[in-house]
Amino acid sequence: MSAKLRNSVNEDLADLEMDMSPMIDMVFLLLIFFIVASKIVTHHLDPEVKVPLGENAAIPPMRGARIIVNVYQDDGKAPFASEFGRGKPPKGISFNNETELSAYIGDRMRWLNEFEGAELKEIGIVIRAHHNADVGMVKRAVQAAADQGITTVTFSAFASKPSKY
Amino acid sequence: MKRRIDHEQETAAKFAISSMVDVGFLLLIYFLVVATLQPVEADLRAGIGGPPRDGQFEQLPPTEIVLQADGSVVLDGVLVAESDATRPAMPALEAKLKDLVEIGRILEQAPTVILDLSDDAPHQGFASVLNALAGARIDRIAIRAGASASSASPASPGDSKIAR
Repeated sequence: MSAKLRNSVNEDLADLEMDMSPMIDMVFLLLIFFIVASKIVTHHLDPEVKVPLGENAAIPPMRGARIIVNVYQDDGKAPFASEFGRGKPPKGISFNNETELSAYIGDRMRWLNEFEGAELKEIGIVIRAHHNADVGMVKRAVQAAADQGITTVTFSAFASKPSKY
Repeated sequence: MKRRIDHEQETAAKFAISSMVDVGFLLLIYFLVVATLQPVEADLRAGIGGPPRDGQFEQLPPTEIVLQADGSVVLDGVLVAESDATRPAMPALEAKLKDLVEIGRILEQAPTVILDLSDDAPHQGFASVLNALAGARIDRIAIRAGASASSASPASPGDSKIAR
């Protein structure tokens, strides 16, 4: 290759620029699509409930329809509460006994069935029990769920110890 | 003449975004690292079924785990975790449960575990037992109904069966 031709090619290459704008357009389009198509499910967790540790606990790929129930350690207050709502600060409904809790679980199941399209037999319960809570209370929460025909019970646990525990 | 030079300099001005991109990536990495430091709550799953079917335990009888009020754990009458067993891991229990799974594999039968939980035991003890069961991959669990943790009678139709 002659020096003249080589210089000409080098000049052409030096002028080359990649047009990024179509790629950025496409990335933003995909981003907007996934934002619109995805469904964000937010659960407000009661910070008072410090769940136990269990290194074999796992995060399932799909969580499905779940009813969250908080079980507290014995401090003179109501032993059970529902999932926290979106208020400021977030609050849940307190239950003094398993009868009230069972009624709430039944109502929540019907709501999930009617408005979320969840099959009744696929609805599970998540028991967020404080690590110092009495097992008797946990058993009563399980019984309240069983009374409503729930067949899947999940116990929340930390697979590793959080910094503030 | 001076005005023309200024005009040329203005048209040649470009906004250098590389520094901004650097800072952006640094922030991204920072938040990624911080976000992974705090663990999220995971699941120890269980499923409630019906009472044991007739003849289900012909070859491999159900194993009973008793969680006592002080947090100690007894497996088929043998103490496997001391009273300070509120720690998350119970390696002795998990090892024995894995042995049970091996026996079940030889007999081609999944082992069943009945949990007898004291109402006064801390929930961490129960979670530790569930954790050991999850480690041994035992998915047929029953929780004995009632408050007593000392009774060691075999499974009755009143037990609520849990398949984890």
